[in-house]
Amino acid sequence: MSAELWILVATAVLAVVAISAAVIAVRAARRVAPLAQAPVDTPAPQPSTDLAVLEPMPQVDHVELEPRLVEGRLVVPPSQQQVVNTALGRPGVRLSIFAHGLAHALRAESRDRITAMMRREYRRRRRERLQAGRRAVRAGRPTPPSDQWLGS
Amino acid sequence: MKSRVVWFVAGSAAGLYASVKARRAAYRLSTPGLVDQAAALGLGWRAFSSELRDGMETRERDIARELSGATADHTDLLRLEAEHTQKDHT
Repeated sequence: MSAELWILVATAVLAVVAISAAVIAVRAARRVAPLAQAPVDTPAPQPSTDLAVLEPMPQVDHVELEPRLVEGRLVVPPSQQQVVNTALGRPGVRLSIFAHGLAHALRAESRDRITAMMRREYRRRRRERLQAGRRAVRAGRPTPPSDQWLGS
Repeated sequence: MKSRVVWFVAGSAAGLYASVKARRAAYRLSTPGLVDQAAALGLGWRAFSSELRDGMETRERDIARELSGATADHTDLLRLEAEHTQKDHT
């Protein structure tokens, strides 16, 4: 088979697939259209004109448990701070915190800011170094007085 | 004549561009250039560490707040935004 024939067959297959996909899409659209056009019986909610009243949230008091004797043993319940510190010290939590910090530092904004800062620092140092070099050359080879060319 | 002028201008521009690039590359590979790059790298590392610490502290505060059952506030976000604005200005 020649190359032209292969291309013809491939194009025909592609056309059949495209037509089939189009027919399926049209059928699906017809099936969905009646559902979308069905009238909604529930009336649209009217915006309320009443003034909103802010109600204070109920305050939850953290009651620290007192040490007590359980079966002859003194049990001292940990404080809230101790619980938090213990939870924060777990390896999984530490890893999660580190991963969050890493993600925070590698955000696009941070990345761009840091790279721009590095570029600016490099260029500033280079400029200062070149200026210092030019100053040194000028100091080592002083230019003649400016009024010499006037012939005075 | 016009073609010669065009070629002359193109050649001059290419030569200028190449000489600037070559000078910068030579500086980058020289000892002062390497020192400057190391200094810039150090600055970048410090900024990165600062960002890392910021993110870790934010996460730690979130976890502590969740554990203690306190209501969420957005003072951290406002503080971070203010710090970043200040950093951008400097």
